[in-house]
Amino acid sequence: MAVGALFLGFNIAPTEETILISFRMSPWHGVATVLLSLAIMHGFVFAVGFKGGSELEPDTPWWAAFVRFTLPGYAVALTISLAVLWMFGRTYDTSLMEIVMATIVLALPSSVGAAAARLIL
Amino acid sequence: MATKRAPARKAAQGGKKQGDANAVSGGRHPVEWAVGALSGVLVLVLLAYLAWSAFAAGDAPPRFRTTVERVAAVDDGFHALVAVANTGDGTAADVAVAGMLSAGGDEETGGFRIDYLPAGSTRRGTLVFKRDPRQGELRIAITGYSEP
Repeated sequence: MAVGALFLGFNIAPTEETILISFRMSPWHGVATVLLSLAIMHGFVFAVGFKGGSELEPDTPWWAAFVRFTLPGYAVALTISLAVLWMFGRTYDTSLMEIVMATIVLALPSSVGAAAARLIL
Repeated sequence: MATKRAPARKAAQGGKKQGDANAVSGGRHPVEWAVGALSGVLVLVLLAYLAWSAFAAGDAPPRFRTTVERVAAVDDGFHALVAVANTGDGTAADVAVAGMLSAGGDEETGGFRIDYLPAGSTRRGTLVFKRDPRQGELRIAITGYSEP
């Protein structure tokens, strides 16, 4: 999943649009982006039914897979996003709020990459 | 031969069913739950931080504080390294920094622009003068900025 997140995140991190979008977002936009990322990740692997996707066993509640796969996956995507932003010097002398927002923006494509990696690998 | 092969195939099928990585069942391993809970806490902290800052953050326009950090003598003049900090709540783009130096009875101006200056952050630039800014009076002003 980290490879998938890195694969998409690394291409997007050096562009100016990542930070530009984060500058224009309010904190509520950030909350919505986090929830959207989680929904996309969960849907990608468990609900949409791509080839290689996972099927839930009937007796398993949906939140079990959410806690065991989607949440750690998003945490991985966040960590990779922060690391890539740091590598490109986006975090230097920048306030925590702006770093968090840029990380969330980058974590959206990174989480798609992480979810896709679960389908491919 | 045939009797030998049949159980082998059966075992392979059974093995495939058991080792099917695509089937997700209820809690298999406590570590998975621990990592999941830890990640959940991380995401909740993130959401709480965002919600808190949504209420805490005002909408004050960008404000600037400039400090001369270092003056270096080079071949044809002096380079003054200036740090510009944004103490407001909004991000400023394309910030125009102008420096006016009066030294030895002469006026000199220098300037640079900063692409993005996010709230609570610091960016640096250099003003170039012919005379030494340490010997005269240097005034630094922000003459304009745009919204990102």
